Order: sequence, then structure tokens, then C-alpha cells
Amino acid sequence: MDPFDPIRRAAVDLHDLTVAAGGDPKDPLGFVTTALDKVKNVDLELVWFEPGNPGLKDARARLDDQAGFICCENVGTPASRALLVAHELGHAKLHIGSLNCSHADVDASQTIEAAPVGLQRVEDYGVKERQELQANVFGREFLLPRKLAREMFVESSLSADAICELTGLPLPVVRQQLLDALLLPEAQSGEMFDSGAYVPKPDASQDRAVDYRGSPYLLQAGPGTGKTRTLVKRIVSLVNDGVDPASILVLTFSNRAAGELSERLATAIPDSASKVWVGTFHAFGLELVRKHYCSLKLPEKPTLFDRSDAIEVLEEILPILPLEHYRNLWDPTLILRELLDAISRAKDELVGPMRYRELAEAMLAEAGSDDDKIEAAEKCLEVAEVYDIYERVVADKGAIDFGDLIMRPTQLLEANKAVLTRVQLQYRHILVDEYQDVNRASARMVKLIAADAKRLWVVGDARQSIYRFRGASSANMTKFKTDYPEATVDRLDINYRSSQQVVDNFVAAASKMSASQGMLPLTLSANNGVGPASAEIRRFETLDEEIAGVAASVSHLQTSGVAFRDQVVLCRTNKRLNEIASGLEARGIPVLHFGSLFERDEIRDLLALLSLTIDPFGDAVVRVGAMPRYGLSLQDVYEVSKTIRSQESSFLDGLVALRSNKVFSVAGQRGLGQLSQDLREFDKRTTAWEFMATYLLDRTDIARDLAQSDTVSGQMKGVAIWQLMNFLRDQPPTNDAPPIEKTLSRIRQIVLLAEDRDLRQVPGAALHMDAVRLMTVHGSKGLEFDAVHLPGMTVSSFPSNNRGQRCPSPHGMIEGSAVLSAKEFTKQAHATEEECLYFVAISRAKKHLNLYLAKKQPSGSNRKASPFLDWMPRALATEISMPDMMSLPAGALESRKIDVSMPDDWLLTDGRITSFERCPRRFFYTHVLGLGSARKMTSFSRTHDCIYGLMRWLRKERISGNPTLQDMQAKFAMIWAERGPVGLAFEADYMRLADCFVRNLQKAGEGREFLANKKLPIKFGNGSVYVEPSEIACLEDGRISVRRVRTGYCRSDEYSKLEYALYLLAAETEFGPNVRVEALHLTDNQCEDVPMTPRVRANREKTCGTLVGQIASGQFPPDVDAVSCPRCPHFFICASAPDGDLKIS
Amino acid sequence: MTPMTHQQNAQFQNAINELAMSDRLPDAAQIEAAIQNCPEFATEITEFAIELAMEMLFEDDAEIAVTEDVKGVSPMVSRALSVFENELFNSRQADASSNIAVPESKSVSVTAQGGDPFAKMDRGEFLNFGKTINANNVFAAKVRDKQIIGATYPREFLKLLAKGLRESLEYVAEYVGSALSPSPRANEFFKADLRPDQTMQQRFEDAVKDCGLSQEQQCFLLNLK
Repeated sequence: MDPFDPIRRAAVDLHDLTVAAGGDPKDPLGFVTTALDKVKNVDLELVWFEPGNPGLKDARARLDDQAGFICCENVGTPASRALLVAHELGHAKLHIGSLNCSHADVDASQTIEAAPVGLQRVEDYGVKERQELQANVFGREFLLPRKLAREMFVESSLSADAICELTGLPLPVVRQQLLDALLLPEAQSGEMFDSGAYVPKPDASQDRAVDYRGSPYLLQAGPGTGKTRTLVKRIVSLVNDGVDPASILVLTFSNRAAGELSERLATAIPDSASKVWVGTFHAFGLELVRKHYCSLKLPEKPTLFDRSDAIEVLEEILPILPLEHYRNLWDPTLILRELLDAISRAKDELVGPMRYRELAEAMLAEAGSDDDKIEAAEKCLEVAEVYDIYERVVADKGAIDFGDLIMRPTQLLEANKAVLTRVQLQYRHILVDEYQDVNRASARMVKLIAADAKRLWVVGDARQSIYRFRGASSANMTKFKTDYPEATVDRLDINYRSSQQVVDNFVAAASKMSASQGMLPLTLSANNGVGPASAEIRRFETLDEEIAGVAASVSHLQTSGVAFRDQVVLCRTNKRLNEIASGLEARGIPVLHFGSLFERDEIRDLLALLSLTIDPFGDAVVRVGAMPRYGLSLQDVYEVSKTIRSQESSFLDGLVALRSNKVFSVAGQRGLGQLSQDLREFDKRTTAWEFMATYLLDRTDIARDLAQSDTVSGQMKGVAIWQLMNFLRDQPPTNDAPPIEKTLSRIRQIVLLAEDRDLRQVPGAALHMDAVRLMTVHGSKGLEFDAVHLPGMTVSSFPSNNRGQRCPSPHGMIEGSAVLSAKEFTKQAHATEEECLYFVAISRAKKHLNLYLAKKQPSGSNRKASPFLDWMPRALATEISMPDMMSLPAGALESRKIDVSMPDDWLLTDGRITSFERCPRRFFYTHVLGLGSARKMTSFSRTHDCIYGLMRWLRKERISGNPTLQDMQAKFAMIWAERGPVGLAFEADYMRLADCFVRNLQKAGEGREFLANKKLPIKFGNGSVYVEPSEIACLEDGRISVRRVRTGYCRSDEYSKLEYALYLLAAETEFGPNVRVEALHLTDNQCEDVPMTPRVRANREKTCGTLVGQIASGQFPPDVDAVSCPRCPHFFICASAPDGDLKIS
Repeated sequence: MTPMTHQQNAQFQNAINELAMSDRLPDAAQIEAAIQNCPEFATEITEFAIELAMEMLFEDDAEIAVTEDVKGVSPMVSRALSVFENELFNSRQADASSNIAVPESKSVSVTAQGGDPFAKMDRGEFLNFGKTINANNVFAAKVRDKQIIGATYPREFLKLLAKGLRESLEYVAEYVGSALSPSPRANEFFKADLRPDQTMQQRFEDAVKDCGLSQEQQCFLLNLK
């Protein structure tokens, strides 16, 4: 349940009592005064002090529990003062003791769940911070309960602005409360705030762990054994023994774990909990950085870079990065992500640039004459160089990155005895949760702080170590005894989560796992006894059938009493999760699944709106126009795009004029008028949050409509928008671009870097909805469900394939990597992690464990069953023969067809059809609607555009004469000056490359008589394709050559591409079978006849016919791809388009 | 009301003394042992240990020549000892004076580190205390938190205070006049990096005027000599 529900209920109770006592919510200050004066059980006085009065103790507001009063500073509007009092009332109702609240503490507009990306990942989740957040939520709910806010907004049709005017409450507070009230599903009635209650149960193994004293202690806690409970009991026991709570440091790895611990501690030891330091390693590191910034040679408040900020830094310094092996001229930024990963891994291992270089140099010295080893070492040296430059630039900016949050404080503790002593003396009891996830830097930090380690207590499970990609090493578990020779190692014995069958299954798996080496054997008894079923395995023919099978099982379990919300589908990849989510929804099964937040339809609508404020052509109108509020037809949006492109003004400036343009339909004019109204007064200075809050709460009924949705999918839209609003609150720290542009570019970056992982998690406030949960195995860690459905139990799926590393670490950097080659080491680590993921997946189940596999892949090839299925003892698994499948309702998942009428002079060229083959939707936007001219040009694409410009010029020149190399170079210089990557990264390199192309081009033209170029048609059943050859020439032997000239390399699969088949077909149709069809690749200066077997040619011809047919029938589905989509100019538009036919003029 | 007992005071001072006397950098185990005996002074003992450690480290760093006396005690420890001996002297003096002047009351020395006569009051007791000094809880809290400059208290008010606290006049005089505690009160919560400012003080007259006291209360208090 949402832990804020009971807090809000308490606030609403007090609100109701205050209303009953005569309080008027429209007068917030009078309202709080009434609460304090007239509500019986409040029993507090209110005092106003001028700022600076000693009674305030430099706080903004204080609750003096002993003296029974609240004192607040007497400044600000009446409503803002009321919020101060309401905040303290929250403390009085919810917490124990007296509290002093600073400026930072009181923020009634604070969201209950910060978006888990970027800086907010390092959010402090300590007890005190939670208390302040709770008091803020209480204060907001007390003054403006969500029910009242909703009534005002939905029933009385007041906007956020109007509510502010009515109540005097600050706009950010009203907005946040409205967002909570309208977008989050209502809490279930009757829920009690007891899920996190501290209820100790007798368990000898837990008690041993709790009571242990006197030496370092490692507790091995298998799944469902009550690890968190034991940790909490341990802390309670220490406090009861007289240990100062302020001397207890509890380190976790996730905010979720820290938050849960804080909640439980607050219940178990309310008067001591806030003194215990609970938080993530990163949050603790940040605290040390902030305290000791001077010693770290950092500014007082260093900027914290997340990954996308760091990538931006690397992009900035790209021109000075000495890349050879890692140079990618097609797009030099592509490698930056991997380089950053390599740097980050180095920081996990406490390896700075200098040490990195030493290791790389040692590799080079050992490489001898082995070319592969030399290359590997040189690559590491390149990373070392980048690392060095990156560190200098980040330091110059007074910033630190995530990796620094552990490495820098650890290095400081090692080097500075005063700081180390201070920390050691302050934190004398160290407890570490999820110890299997510590990396070398964290382990070192713990060892330093723990000093003699006599009060060090760690808990973990090496079999659940699933974060090796970020440096986690369960080896820290197995070598605990080596690190701490006096250590005691023990384990928990009782599983409280699962049935006997499920426990037996994962215990059997444990014995097969590499991660079990060095661990105590896993022997667990199931507290819940025998369950209703053993594990079930269902085999299917295809992946679609597998989805139908999962749907049937989910439905069957639901009818037999397992609610949807108690079932989960776990997958290894987000892609498969999306497919299964769509499949379940299409069959009427409600799902609790976000997918990628930024790729959801309702979110894309809003992002498209945002992009309208910065895109001069307003291409996003194609998506926005499709929103019911605007109701433009497809023809309308085409006309908008055409009109805007033909005029001087930008979309936003020209919008007002558009609405009276008779070229649009009546509905279109109305829609454009509405859009113009909705976007009024927004400009480039508007922040994304401001835009969105105004749009949702003051300009439109979108939030109003969502608030009244009674379906799970409708409510999920609201939750997604709520999550987006949390994300938009934070502005990225780098560059000075307009805020919305910055936000949109950050979103692309986050998706490209797959940094949106945590944003895929459904917020806590929505988890009570009765819908099947879908998540990756990684995301399921720490959770439990009555029924677990695990599809994809085939090889290459689970375990997944090892993709290797683009920038492997130097030998010896990672523990164990000195023995094995980097490749072998990575392979082994991957295999171990996949085993752990399987172990985590099956151990989430309480009663039902269902595994699924499909024999055939979409390519038609067969896949074997996962080897993990063999780990399951026969007696513990049931093969379900002829498993049930739930069929799709008729018409489900059918894609829309667009009736497009093209003008006679519009030709389907070879370039266009290959674009369609890559992504039909992109083809539609670019080549049919003519959108996307504002694409982001890279240096590479500029260089190549220049070459193609030269080739166009050559086509004409070569017919009338024979331009010399000098002529070509002179022309090229002109094109370069106009369109080349002048002044950008690697300009000289690109120039050299281009000059090479020009020379190769000139040489490849020798001995040929160039003919006038023309389009060569190929007829298919549904239309024709026109090939636009690069060159048509008569060769010395009299034969005609049709040549395709490309700037790149000739790849191994080059001639299987569609375009070569088109060249062959078109050339032979035009010039007969004697024609030569050639290909020239300028990078490797290779010219050859296009080889193609008749079979391949026939296949490609068939494919081409199919593609032409799809275009003719208006089928333009998107081809979603994790790398190309975030870079696509239509990223924020895809895949929407308004209804109606389209006539291109 | 249970002010700090003799025993508590002695334990606390012993703890401080042991840390200072050990003549080595304090460690976690020492602090734990010290706190075990007087857990109510955990914050003070921790802070003392950290300060002691810092001083020892910085002396080492600065390579100040450590002059040892004949007993082999460093100047740092000598200073700590001196602090302790002064406290002890104060304590004995207080014992002596309270034994003579107010034999029925609890005789205890009020030091900067401890001796909080309000520590164990619940809200009802605290409100009653406010009434006995003819003030409200806000003013009483300022007295409790030593936010009123000791020297500005009228003697008659101190007598009133002694009555309200059921302590000797000397005791309350020493309490209100003792140094402000750098540490917040027990059960007073705040963020680690936003410690409440305990050092701000005001005059008695000013406190009377800005604590929301009634006119009658203000008149009464301002007229005290």
C-alpha cells in the first residue's frame, strides 16, 4: 500500500474536525488557528516570532513537544504562514519529540515520490527526511484535502489558478495537490497502516543474528527469510542495549530499501529512529562530500552529474579526445556511453586515471608481438587518456559524477586521518544491507569506517547478486572471512514467503549455482508448509502462443482466487514485457505496466506539445492534431506543415494566423484555434514543468477527464503523467539551452542510455490497483507475489546471450580478472549473473510458479529449452500437456491503414523504399508528410552530405566535359564551406576523409563515358519503384554500367541489401541482361560487380513487391529500435497521426 | 522532576576523564564503554571524543613538541584534567553551599554539559511550571533553553524559578547562568547538517515582551527586582 495513505487520512480527519469547529478552508491561516484553538485533541498553542528571535533557534518553524506549542516565523503571506503551522501540526500528529524545521524542510509542494533518475537517485532517504516529507504531505492535505481539491477542480470546474485565488495557497502547492488528487488512483478504503509494522516473530536463526556481538558478522539471508526484519530487530536490540542511535549507520543499495527500513524503524523505535543514519551508499558518500568539500578540493555545493550530463561533457570535449580504436566517424558520440561505463567501472574499483594508465601500460608491456593483445592494451590506454581528460574537465566545472560519490569519499577516508577518525568515532555500529551488491569501493569504505570491525554487521545473499554490471561483486560475501579474519558467518533458516514446493525448487537451483561456491549451503524450511501446486511448465509453438498461454494461466488463477494484483509476469527484457503487456491488455486482462515512460501514448502527446514550443516548423502538430481536444484531420496537419514551411514565422508565432486559414477543414480551424489558445504565452523561457502544469490544470480538461476514469488503463495514464511531472521537476545542470529544449534533449539521452529503467517502475501510490504486474527480473528483487509467471524459458532468452563489453577493463583492475582474459572473465560473470537472475525470479513466488517457453522464434528458427529447466527436479515440476491459450478477440492488435493519394510526380524511389524497409513510420513522416527537416546533423552526416552534393554536381559536369581532380576539389571546398562540419569536432579528420573520397571518386571515373542520368523504373503489382542510379556510364568495352556509389565501407552483408537487388532489376529492365551493375565504396575504394545469387535476388524482389504493396495499402507501422528511435527526428511524434485520408499536393 | 543526580554527574565526568586520560587517540570501543555507563550523555561524550581526537591529531600534524610532565601526561590531557578538576571543584562547592542554604533540596552542580532540571518533565508538568512562574509555556521554554541572558534575570524571578523547579536559588542561578549547551535537548530532532542554533539569547525584558504573555503577566514580570 501507499505509505502516505495513513498520513493523508490523519490530515483529513483533522481537516474535518476543524471544519466542524467552524474553520473555513478558504482562509488557511484562520483554518489552522481554528484547529489549534478549537479542536479538542490538538492541544497545542501557536506563537509567532519575528525572524531572528531566539525562540526560533534559526528555524522557520518549531514544534516544542514538551512545552506544547508551535512557533513559526512571522513572515510571508497568511497562506504561507498557515502552511508552516500545518507542517508542524503534521509533526505533532505523526512524530515523536520536538522538531526544528529549516527552510529546506518546509516545502508543501514536495512530491511524495521523486522521479528515480539523475540527481534524485541520490535523494536522502533517512528517517528525518522522510518525516519532513510526511509533514509536508500532511500540511498540504490538511489545508486542501485531495477530495476538496478534486471537488473544486472537477465539479466546480475551477482551475488551479482559481483555487489559488480562492484559498490564497501558493500555486505550486495547489498544483501538486491537484496532480495527486486527479492523477493518482484513490486509495482503497479500509486499508490499515500496518504493512510495515514491526511484529517480531520467534525465529532462532534471526535471534542469533540479532543478538550477536563482539566481532564482524556476516548473515547469509536466503529469499524470504526476513532479512529486513532481522536488520530492524538488530537495530532495535542495539538501541535497547543502550547504544546511541546516532552512532548507528545503516547502508543500503537502493532508495527503496532505505525507504522501507526508515519506515519500519520509525514504527519500531519512534523516539530513536530519526537519529539512526539510514540511506544508500551514494547518499552517504554525498554527505561526506558536502561535509568535506574543502579537503576534496571541491566547491561548497558541487554539481552532481548524472550519466546524461556526463555524456554531454564528453560530447563537449570530443574534439580533444585522442581516439583511434574508439573513433567512430559515422557518429563519434556512439562510443561515449561505453567509455563512460568504463570510467564508471574504474571508479567502482577505486582506480583513478593514473592507475588505469599503469594497468594499461603493463598490458602493453606483456603483449609482446601478439596483435590482439596489443590492440586490447592500446584500447585500454585510450580509455585511460579519456578518463584523465574527463576528470580534469569535470573538476574544472566543480562537479562530481555518480562514481565519485563512493570513490572520492573513500579515497578521502584513506588519505585523511582526521576525517576518517571523525567518521569512525561518530558511526560505531555499521550495518550493511544487500552486502552481495557492494563493489570494491563500497567494501573499502565499509572497512575503513568499521575500523576494528567489532561492530560491523552485514547481511546479503550471493545467490541474489544481480548487479555485476555496476561493479557489484558477491566475492565480497565469500571472502568476508578473509577481509575480516575474526568474522562469524551465519545464515537464516526459515523462509516465510513461499510454499514448500517453491522453496524446494529454488533450494535445488542453489546447489547448481556458481554463486553458491564459498557460501553456506542453502537449507530452508518453509514456514507456510505445502502449497496448492508444484511448479508448472507450459510449452508452446510460437511466441504469440506463449502470450496466449500466459493470458490463460493468469485468467485461470484469477478465477480460482488469486487476484490480478497478486500475480506477476517476469521477463528478462523490456521488449518482451511490452509484447506481453499488449497481449494481455488485448485480451481484457488489466496490467500494471508502464513500459518506457517516454514512449507511452499519453506522455508522447504531452512531449509533442512541449516540442511545439521550440520547433519552428511545428512538426509535432501531427501528433497533437490527433488529440481529441484538437481533432485535426490528417489532411489538416499536412496543410499546416506545408503552410508553416512556406512562411517566414515559426509555428508558435504563425499559429494565430493559421486558425482562420480556409485551407483547413472547419474542425481543423476550430482545433487550431483551440491549440492557439492552449499555447498562448508560452515561449522558449517556459520550463517544461510550468508548461505542463499550466496546460493540464489551467488550460485543458485532460486531468479532469483522467480523474474520472474508472478503468485500470485509464488510471495508468494518469499515473504515468504524474510520474512525468515528477521527472520534469528537476532541471539538468549542464548547458544554457532553453529549458524545454534541454528537457527534450535530456529525455532522448536518457532513453538512448537506457537510464529510464527506474522510471518504468509503477509508483507506490498506484500499486493497489487490481492488475497484473509486469516487470523485469531485475525490477522484481525484494518483491513477492502469490503467482509468478516466467515466460521465455529458452536458451538465448533466459539465460540471455552475453553481449560482451565494448571497452573492457585492463587486466587486474577487477578482482579475478588477472587470472582470466577480459573476455572470459566477462563471460563467466555474465553466466553467473544469469543464474542469479533465475534464482531471484523463481524465489519471488509465494504459491504458484509457472514457466513458459516457445519453440519457434519470429525468424522461424527453433530454440532449445533453457538449461535452467533441467535444474528443476522432476518431482517438483509438472509439465502441462496441451496448455490452455486465451485467444485474441477479433480485430485486436489490427493496425490502422492510411489512405494516401500521392501526386503524379511523386515517385517511389529506391532511396524511399529502403527508408520504408528500415521503418515504415519514419518513411511516412519524412517522405509522405515531408516532416523532419530539422534533424540533428552530425559531423559525419555533414561530410557525407557534402560528398553527395559533389556527386550531384559531377553528374551534370561529366556529361558536358571531364572535370579534373582540381576542379572537383575546388567545387568540394565550396560545398564544404557551406555545409561541412566547419569548426566542429574532428573537422580536420573529416576533411582528410572527404579529400580521400574526392580522389577516389575522380579515379573511379577514369575510362568511362558518363551518360545522362535517368530514373530507371521497376514495375510491381501495386506500383513502381524508380531507381536513381549514382552513375550511368558507357565502359571501354561498350557495355553499359549502372553504378551505385556509396561513401562508406563495403560491409560483409552489403550485397544482400534491397537496394542492390533494385539496381539489378532496374538496370536489366532498362538496358538488357548485358548491363554491368557495379558498386563503388569510397572509403575502401573498392569497385566491383554486384554479386547476387538468383535466389537472393528473387527473395529481394518478392520483398520489394510486398513493401510496395504495404505502401499502396497505407500500412506504416513503426519499427521500434532502442538505438535509432531516440535519434529519430520523429521520436516525440511517433507513432500517432490524425484520422482521415491524405491527399498530397 | 528528576535533575541529574550526583551519580550521573560523576559517571559523566568519569567518562570524560577516562577518555582524556587514556593518552591515546580515542576509539569507538572506548566511546561505547563510556556511553554504556551514562547513555543520556551519548551526544556529549561522542562530541568530546571527536574533539579530543581532532586536537590530538592536529597537534601531531603540526608537529608541536609535546612536553611531557614528570608523570608522562601530555598537555592535551592536562587541559582535559584541568577542566575535570574545575568541574569537580564546582561540584564540591555546590554541594557545600546547597547543604547549608537549602538542605531539603537536591544538591547538585549544574554544568554546561548536564544538569537539566526540565529533562524529565512531561507536558503537563511543564505547563504547571509555567504557571508557577506566572508566565506561559513559550516564556518557560526560553528559560528552559537558556535563551535569556542569565545576568538579566531579576533576582526575584530567580526565586520564583527556584520555587517552580523546587530547587535552590543557587542551583537555578547556576543553571540560567551556565554556558549554553552546544547540543540540542534530548528528544529534539533536526537534520544533521541543520543543527538548531542554541546560541541565540535575549534580555529578560525582551523575552517578556515577545512571548505572547498577557499584559498582566508582563507587568508582573517586568516589575520584579
